[in-house]
Amino acid sequence: MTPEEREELLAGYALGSLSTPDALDADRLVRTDASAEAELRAFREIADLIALSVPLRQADPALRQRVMSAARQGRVWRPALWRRYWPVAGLAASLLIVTFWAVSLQTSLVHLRQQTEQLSAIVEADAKRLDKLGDPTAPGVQQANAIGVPLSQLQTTASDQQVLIAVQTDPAAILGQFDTTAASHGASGQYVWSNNADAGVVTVRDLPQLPLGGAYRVWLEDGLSRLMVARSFAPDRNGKAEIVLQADGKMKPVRIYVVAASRADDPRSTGPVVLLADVTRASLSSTLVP
Amino acid sequence: MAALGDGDLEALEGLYDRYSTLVFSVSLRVLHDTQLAEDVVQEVVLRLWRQPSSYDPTRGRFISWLMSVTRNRSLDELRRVTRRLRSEDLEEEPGRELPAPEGVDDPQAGLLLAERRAAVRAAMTRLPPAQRRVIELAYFGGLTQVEIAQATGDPLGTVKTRVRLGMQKLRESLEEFINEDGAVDDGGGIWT
Repeated sequence: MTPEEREELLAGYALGSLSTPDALDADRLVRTDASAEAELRAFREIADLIALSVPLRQADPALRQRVMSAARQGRVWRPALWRRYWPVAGLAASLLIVTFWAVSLQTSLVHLRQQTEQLSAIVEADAKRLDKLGDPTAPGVQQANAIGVPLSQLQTTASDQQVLIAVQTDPAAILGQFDTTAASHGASGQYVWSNNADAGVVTVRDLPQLPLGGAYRVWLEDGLSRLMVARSFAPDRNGKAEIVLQADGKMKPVRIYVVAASRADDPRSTGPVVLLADVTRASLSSTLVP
Repeated sequence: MAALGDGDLEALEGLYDRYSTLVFSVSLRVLHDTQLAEDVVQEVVLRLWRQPSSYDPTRGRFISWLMSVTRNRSLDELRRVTRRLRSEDLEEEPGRELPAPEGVDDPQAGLLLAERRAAVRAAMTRLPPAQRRVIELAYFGGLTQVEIAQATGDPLGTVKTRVRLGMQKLRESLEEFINEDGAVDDGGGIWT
């Protein structure tokens, strides 16, 4: 890497304008080179100053009263939806369609919740049969079929359960916090990783909402800088999610990245790194089970 | 910040009076929507009110943190409403520009902050237009360098070079506002 390329990388990283592969390169550089870290810090301070270049504009004087009123009442004032979505509000026909869709979705969610509860009961009651999920005659599989749960869903749930058990019972499992980035925007998270099980669990919260069509992905990186997409996920409306990870056994992850991908349907799509964790960093880690 | 933690509303009013215009202006620059920008002002101020500890003085000056939070929150909102407007496509932002002379009598932010604003504006103005454009598209538009290249029709390498050269020049122009430890000096005040 030439000095110019290095500076381009750090300047772009400070502005938050790098794509995921470049951001990973920049992160790696900063972690391994103290002078690069200092340079990035200086660029970030410059980036923060750029905001001061805007011409000053006067907000509605009534805003001050609204903010103070909300603070006094200890509640968050939220703008009326009609004001934010005024152009859409006029489309009465669309509203009807959306209403119908919402009712259908609610019905589906109730049904799915019931299925999940039944499925959990099956898995919990008969953990010894998890290895027999490929057998259509196994009682657990027959019970799942009876309530309309697809076999693939049953296998995924069962697999996640097995991973969870393996991670939680590993006395050497590592517990750590995610580091934030310029794209975190208040998000945070922690992870548990078991090298013995080649698996782990990630818990995140306050993840920013993504544009329609986007998705979050968890990437694993090993000591040879090889990357593997471990799982895609969508957080709930509060930005929370729990993700079970399983490495392929060929790589030993040293870092975990949570990345905001621009397109959920394209596994090659990339975006900014929102959270990152160095699994090998002892200072942030402690054993999960004494 | 301790006063905010104690629930001192006067401290919150002081913070609002000093910084709300700047927060609103930055958010308006990103969102180009008065109502959404006011929403961001409200969220940023109330976030400090509810969680004063969200600002950690050991990680930099308050004004840097505030601008970073404002920009990030505004970009979140921009992405949420999927309004990818670019500065060159826009008319003048709505709202009334304050008539106070820059850097002399800024009624909202204080003299020292106004001096820094004047210096940053001058430094941005001195940049070649192409360099200023890519930096503004990245900072205020939240675009990646790849997206900037697609939007402007310039090669990706050219975009990267312009970002580097522009940031270098800003760094040289604004060196006096950066302390030896890299922290921006915002001139002291109640929040530093």
